[in-house]
Amino acid sequence: MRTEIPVTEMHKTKSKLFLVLAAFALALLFGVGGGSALAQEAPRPRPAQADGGGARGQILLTATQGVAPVELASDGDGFSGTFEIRNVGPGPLTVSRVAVRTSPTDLRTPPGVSVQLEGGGLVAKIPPGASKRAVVKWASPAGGRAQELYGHVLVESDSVTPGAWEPGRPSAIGIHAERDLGLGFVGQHVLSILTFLPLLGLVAIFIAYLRGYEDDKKIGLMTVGLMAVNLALAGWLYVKFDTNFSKVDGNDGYQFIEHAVWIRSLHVEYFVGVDGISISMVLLTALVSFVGAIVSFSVKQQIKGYFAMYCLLVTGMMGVFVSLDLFLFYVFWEVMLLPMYFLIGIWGGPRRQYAAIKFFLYTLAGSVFMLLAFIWFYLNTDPTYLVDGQAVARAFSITELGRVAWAGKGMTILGIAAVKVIWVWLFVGFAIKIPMFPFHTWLPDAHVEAPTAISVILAGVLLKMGTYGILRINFGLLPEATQWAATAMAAFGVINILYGAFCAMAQKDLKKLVAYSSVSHMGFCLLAMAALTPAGIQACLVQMFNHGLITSMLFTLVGVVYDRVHTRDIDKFGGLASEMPLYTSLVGFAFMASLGLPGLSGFWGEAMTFIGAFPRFRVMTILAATGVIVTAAYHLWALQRMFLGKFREEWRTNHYLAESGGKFPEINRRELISLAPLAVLVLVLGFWPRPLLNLIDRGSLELHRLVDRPGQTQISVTRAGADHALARRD
Amino acid sequence: MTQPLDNLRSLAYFGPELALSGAILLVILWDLVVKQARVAGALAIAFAALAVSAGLSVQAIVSGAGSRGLFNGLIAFDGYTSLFRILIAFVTAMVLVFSKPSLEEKSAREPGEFITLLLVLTLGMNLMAASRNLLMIYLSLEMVSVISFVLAGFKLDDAKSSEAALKYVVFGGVASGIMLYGMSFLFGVSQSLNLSDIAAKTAELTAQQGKVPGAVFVGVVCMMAGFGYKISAAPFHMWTPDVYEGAPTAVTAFLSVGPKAAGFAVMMRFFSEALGAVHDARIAGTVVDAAPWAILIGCLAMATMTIGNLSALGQDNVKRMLAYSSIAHAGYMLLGFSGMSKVGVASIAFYVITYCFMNLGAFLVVMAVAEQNGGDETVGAFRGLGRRAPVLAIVMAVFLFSLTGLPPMAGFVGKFYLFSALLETGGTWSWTVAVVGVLNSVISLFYYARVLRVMFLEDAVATEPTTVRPMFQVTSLALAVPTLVLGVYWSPVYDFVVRSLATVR
Repeated sequence: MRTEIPVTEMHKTKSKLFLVLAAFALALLFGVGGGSALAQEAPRPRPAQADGGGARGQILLTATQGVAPVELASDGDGFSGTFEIRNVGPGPLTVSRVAVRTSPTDLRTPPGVSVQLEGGGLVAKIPPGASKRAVVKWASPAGGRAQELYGHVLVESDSVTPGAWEPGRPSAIGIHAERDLGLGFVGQHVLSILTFLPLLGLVAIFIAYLRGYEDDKKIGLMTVGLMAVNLALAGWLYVKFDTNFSKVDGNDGYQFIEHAVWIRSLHVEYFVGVDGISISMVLLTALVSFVGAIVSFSVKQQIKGYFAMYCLLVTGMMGVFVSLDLFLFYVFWEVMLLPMYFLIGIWGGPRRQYAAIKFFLYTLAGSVFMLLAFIWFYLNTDPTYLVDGQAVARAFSITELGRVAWAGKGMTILGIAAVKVIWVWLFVGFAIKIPMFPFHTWLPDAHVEAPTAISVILAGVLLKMGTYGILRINFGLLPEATQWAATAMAAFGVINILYGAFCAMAQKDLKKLVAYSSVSHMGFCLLAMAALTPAGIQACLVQMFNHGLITSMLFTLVGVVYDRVHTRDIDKFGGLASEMPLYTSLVGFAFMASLGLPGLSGFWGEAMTFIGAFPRFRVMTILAATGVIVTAAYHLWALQRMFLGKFREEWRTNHYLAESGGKFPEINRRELISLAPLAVLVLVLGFWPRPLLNLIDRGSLELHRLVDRPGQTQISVTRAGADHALARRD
Repeated sequence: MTQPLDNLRSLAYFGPELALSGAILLVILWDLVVKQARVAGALAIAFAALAVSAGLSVQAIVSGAGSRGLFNGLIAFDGYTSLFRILIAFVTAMVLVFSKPSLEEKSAREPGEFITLLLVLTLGMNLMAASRNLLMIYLSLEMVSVISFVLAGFKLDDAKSSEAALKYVVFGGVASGIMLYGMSFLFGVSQSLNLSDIAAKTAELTAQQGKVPGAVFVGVVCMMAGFGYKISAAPFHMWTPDVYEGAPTAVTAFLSVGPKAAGFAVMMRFFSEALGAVHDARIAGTVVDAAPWAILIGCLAMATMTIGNLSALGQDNVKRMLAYSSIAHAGYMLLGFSGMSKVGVASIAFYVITYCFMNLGAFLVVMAVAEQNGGDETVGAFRGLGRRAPVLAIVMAVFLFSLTGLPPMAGFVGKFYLFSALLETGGTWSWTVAVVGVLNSVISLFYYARVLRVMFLEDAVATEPTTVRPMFQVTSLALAVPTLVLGVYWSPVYDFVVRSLATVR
């Protein structure tokens, strides 16, 4: 150890100061870098202890080429790759079994994966210092649906415990193979690109700002361009998505997976993928964010900042829907909050500051409890392996957490069954987002104050995060508690439907009316999912998608009239049909879709909700059905007040209309372009919902199987069954 | 642990402190003798000493040097100490960078003295982190306190600064008096000032009586007054807002991070070595009921963060608001410790690192804004900053979001580890503290967002861009980048922390 006193370092010039500073920084960097380099070697071999009866071998698994997970290369009709089983201990090592990590009841990998030691056999003796090669093959039969493979090979041996995990647990190494889906690199990382491409836009805008770039219109066009690329990629995703893919086909039923270790010491992984639950939401996000970008052209000030925030928002939203790791999910969930605060707060209406902070506080209050719940999951999960094969005691991976019998652990939090507490915490976090009565009060404020495009995003995508989160996390991880809470969920759903509808009826502000109609319509999602039937869960997803389309249309349309006369007061208008016939017909179309007219897509969500929920909640379903009448009433009444009747002549002298000579200008081309894709989809899906249903069929069926145990009648199961399960397991 | 080294052999492991001591003398000499480049030279000496201190510590950790008792067991040489030494050196260096412009002004009062005092403070904090003897704990604490008093009152012509210093002295005197009283109990029980002797005696008595002896409990509670004062935990936090508001901003930034880190270092070592109260998480969960320490720390944590956050809500002066926020953050860190687990110690060490970036950064922005507005530090001075100085405003937003604990900022990761360490021990008590903790996070958003609101949301009085001193721009960016990067990829830093803590005891 050196002990130098810096006597010699009496420098008189200023330049030396910076030298010293640089040295200081280097010293720090060296320390951190050196530390990390050592800490990264995982699993790090440790010297084997002498173990009673003599020296034993120590196992170390490494990929023959590159780093774990072992990459299987295509060889004609299948895939194959190799890894080395090294003995780094002083004694001999006996490998007693080499096997793919799978079981008849829990297929982790796609069918057709096999492993054997080089030269045949599954058993080997490896002397100290030597190594043995093992060959992994993925035959990938013609019937196999999987386009990719993520899995583990387990190696059982008599090795001394090579790490901190418990003895007797086999070592593992990850395996990975990928078929070419077309598009090469882009195709293999399509979800990441969908998520992070907008972030690139943020960086570009920031650079443009730093370089003093003035042409704001181009910034907007670039954003639209990025969203268009995203939309095209989403279209490709739709084409390539295998609608019949399910858990029996391996990879836990997920497709387009990307899986890598992110933070090793915390066992956080970068893990994204889509299945029947999330695919429709990914498509919706891509579509609505594209529409929103076009609508955004009505923003006139601080355009760079606006589009930068917009890009960040899209990244956050997309990330939430594709994340399969709770930590990643939480990060994206919160990332989406920050830009939303600024988008409402800077570019919003007169009460924007109040609305922005209210939105922020409500969501954060919900999400901190979500965070506690996630930590609980993390701390109490069963041991597993990271994607490259490192054995870990804990994990954030949703697929691994979904395998844990949480209710069977019999844990408590503050004296109450832990699964119930955690379920409620998660649910409240998501319910605020939906928004569910009584946590809905942020929504009308946020909607009314937000600029048009942000209202579109808010209603079109953000609200769905709540229901998606419930389906993915509450349903997926805590099925027993879901049954326990199903009735309450349904009741809140019905309250939402009726309360939202009545509130909407009382509104004078058109935007507020649409906002409350969202509250009402999201109630259908709650009721539908609470039924736990296949039709119910399907209805929830259908309603989520269709409501996203319709409500985006509605907010865009509200924005159109607001841009012209800077008011949305329904009672101030009248007879607009004669002034803006095309606009009126579009509003009529959107209203009809929103109130559930058969032939338009809104119908399917509501109808299927009733079909799905009726067997289980008769009275509540009937109550909800009466909500449809109220829904029709407020839509038609608003339509009548605004567009029918006699046109008010005082508008002729309105100063906002001075430019167009006192006439309401008809809806323009940009606005039509933004509405067209939505309208076409609403119409097509209204007559032919099959493409959408195909997408979500498998996902909803599997979720139903998970939360609703088969074999019991659909009606009697809920309360008694759930109570019984919980009482037994507490 | 190996036998403690005698005085002479200890010197070989005392490099960082020797370097600092040498630098202190040198700066004084330089200041007296040299007329040209007085400030630059003194700063160079200071930076060199800090670099040596940090560099030797890094080397000690990387080379995996074992732990030793120095000076017959008075102070410790281990990874724990080294880690805090690196951190303290970094904070001091940052603060020197902050104060460089004001030191180089013609009107600056005795820049050499300022640098000397800061270095003495650093030496004191190093010793705090290393003390494993009640006497050393007291001496090093006082060394830090006395110098802090002087620094807080460094603006002689400013009445507020003098008031701050006086308040600091009065509170400090009371706190250290109570602490001494507590030490006398522990000494009475164990007949020794050595932490390990106290641990042995306490364990023996606890086993005999089936509970922690009353005298030990009272002694520890009294000692918490001293520790609580240093980390500004309730109810010993009263001095914080006044001192933070009155002291020069660079000093405030320093006080809010440096002594707090050192205070946590000495407190955690005390609990670990003198009470044997820190275990692996799984065991800690089962012994929580046996020892009252988890309850004691948990209560302090809840009180501290709640008082800090609620008081911050009503503040109009951003510096004062950040003072209350730093109280709240002391509460969060205590929360991580209330599980009394080794993971908790690591989580606090990691949190201190993230906290040092974001909090120093926030104070730096306050400095820059105040400079633009003729010393105005109120929220109003930030009005329209998003238009006038966008980079500074964006950087401030990063710091504030990080302080709130939102991803993808470092503050979130730090908070995640704190809560995770607490919940790992499990049990009703941990969950109660955790729930109070997350609710506090929500409250804190409200006052941080107030600054965001005036910066971005409210219409500016003036929108023409203002020029900010390049040093402020560069330094604040240099602090914002790690705040962001550590929020996205923090494994090297966390692994480094864990690695250095692996050699404790």
